[in-house]
Amino acid sequence: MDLTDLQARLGGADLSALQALNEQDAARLSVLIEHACEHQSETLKQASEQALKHIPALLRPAVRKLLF
Amino acid sequence: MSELLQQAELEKLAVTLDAPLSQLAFLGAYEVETLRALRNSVSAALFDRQVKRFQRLADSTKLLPNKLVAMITVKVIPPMLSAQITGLLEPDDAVDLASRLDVEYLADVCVAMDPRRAAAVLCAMPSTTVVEVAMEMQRRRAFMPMARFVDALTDEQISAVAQRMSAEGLLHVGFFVESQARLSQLIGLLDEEQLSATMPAAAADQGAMWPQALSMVERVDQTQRARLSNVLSSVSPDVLDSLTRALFEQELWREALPMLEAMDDAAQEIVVAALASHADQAGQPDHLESFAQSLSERLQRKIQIALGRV
Repeated sequence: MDLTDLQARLGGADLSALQALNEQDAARLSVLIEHACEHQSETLKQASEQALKHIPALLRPAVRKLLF
Repeated sequence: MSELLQQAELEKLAVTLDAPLSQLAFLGAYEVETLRALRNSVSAALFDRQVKRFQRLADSTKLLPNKLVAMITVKVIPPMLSAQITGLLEPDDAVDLASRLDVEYLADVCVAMDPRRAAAVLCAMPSTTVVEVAMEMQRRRAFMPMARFVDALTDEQISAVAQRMSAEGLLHVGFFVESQARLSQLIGLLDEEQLSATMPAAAADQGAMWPQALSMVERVDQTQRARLSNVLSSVSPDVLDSLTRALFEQELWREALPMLEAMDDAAQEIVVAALASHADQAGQPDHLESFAQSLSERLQRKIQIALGRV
């Protein structure tokens, strides 16, 4: 995946600093960034779902609406 | 010296990427500035892509009592996630929440946090909380993450932490602080007793901390450099011996140059005499004389006199 593709996948994030790396290293770092993104998304999802389980039933719909 | 800074940057990048340090070995050949730019860029990218969800999580805390939020946080919100959300909370809410969380959890959050995004919240924290968390981070030897907070905390908070930190901890943290201006302010907040403990701390453990100490002296402004350097006029012979050994054996001459030039006459006399004595004993007076050529004429002459060359 080239830098433009990675930036697009990250919602247009500015990753111009990666241009200081050679092609091979930029590609390796891109893989790590992708893993970090996936892990971040999964952590957020799990935390939000788990948090809901601890919220009193009466408040749960309002919090769920806010979170998802 | 730059190897230590480079290692520190790689460690910070590993934390940002939530990846083992070993996976970043391929970046080992890049300059510190490049690694710093990479880390800032990746950190901003990871935050920005989820900022709306982070904000929603932060907003959801307003619907619930803080006691419940604290309980849920510890049970299901990983510190890495709390670190991202902290800066989006209202400072008063964040302070109240922090008072309900245990210090171990708060330290975990701080290790993962980019303090620049949470400056308002951090400045609102009572110094007692800041000190407790800082002591936990010092206990874990998380000096590099601690240094990132020096820019974000108030002078009052920094001063409170500095009063409680070990001299060794101060050397580690000082070495990792990025802003030279802020590092100078940090040293300016230390009293004479704390300052005088820094050089013996550098000499402990067979002089292992001299590179960090000399780097710190080199990076602070003229006033603080003189204060730190003049500590050497009143240290024990063991500390002086450790310094001279480090200069000769670890080849720290270039790093020591700013410190030697910044000293007052009394400190210079003492250090120059120790250097000349070590050079004589080690049979390396030429080595010292060669280094002296990069010093000011005044200091060169002092070294030549101490070596009996004049």
